[in-house]
Amino acid sequence: MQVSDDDLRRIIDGRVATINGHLSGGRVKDALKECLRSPPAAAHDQSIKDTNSYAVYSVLSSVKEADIKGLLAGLTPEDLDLLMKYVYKGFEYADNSNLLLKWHEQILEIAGIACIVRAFADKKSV
Amino acid sequence: MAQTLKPYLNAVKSTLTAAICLQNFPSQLVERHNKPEVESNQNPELVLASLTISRNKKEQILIESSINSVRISLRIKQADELETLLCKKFMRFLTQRAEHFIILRRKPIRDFDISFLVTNFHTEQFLKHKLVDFIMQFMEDIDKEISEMKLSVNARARATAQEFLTEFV
Repeated sequence: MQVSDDDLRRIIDGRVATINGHLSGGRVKDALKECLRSPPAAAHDQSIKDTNSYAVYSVLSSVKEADIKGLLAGLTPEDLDLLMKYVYKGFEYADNSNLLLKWHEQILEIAGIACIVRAFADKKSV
Repeated sequence: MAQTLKPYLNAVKSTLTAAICLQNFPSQLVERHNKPEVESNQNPELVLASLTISRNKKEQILIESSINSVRISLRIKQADELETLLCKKFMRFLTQRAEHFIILRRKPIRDFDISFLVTNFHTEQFLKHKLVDFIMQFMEDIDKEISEMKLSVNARARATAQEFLTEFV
């Protein structure tokens, strides 16, 4: 089913608003769950993807180091792969790398090196 | 600052180990040719996603992988003008001797300071974990060398200035 760029844009903008709402309310777990809903991989416009990945990056950087393990506990392997892709995208912003490196380490521990191989090889970029 | 180094290097090590999974792949466009696909960039289906790992805004590593080659580009920490100059000269020194390094690329990618190109032929000759260790050792040593050079330049400048100016005292 082909979703047009405009529809995707509207969906993503709505999602970003929900995520920001969760973050300001302190509900980090909900924000994370919202982030991991299907990403706009089919979008032709890079700005849609950028808005989405920036929102996820802000969620990832607002989590305290000690909480990371707990948040990763309930995730499925697909979610972990998706999260790893977002971590790499977050590195491109180059802020808060400390925290992102912690995320990277924790996800690697759970999902293994195959997770990184999938981040490289998956055609659906984040 | 020191505590980001260990996790940074670990992240780089695991990503490099995942990226350097290469096999021989003759060119699809030209008969009997064998090109590193990440360099020729003619076939989008053979090139994988490029991933960045950063320690901060000044230190980054970009890893672009494909079926038969991996390009690894480093951005090196340069805190001031003197370090920028030293880094540039040092990199030029190394890239002029790229043949001896084997996996070094003569020109770095745009916006980066130095690049490596690892092809399937290199992985056939060398051990993969040794290649990864080499690149990580390189990253650590570069920073040390540049700070050492900076210290020696400053010390020499101070000594010569002192010698020169005592004439006028």
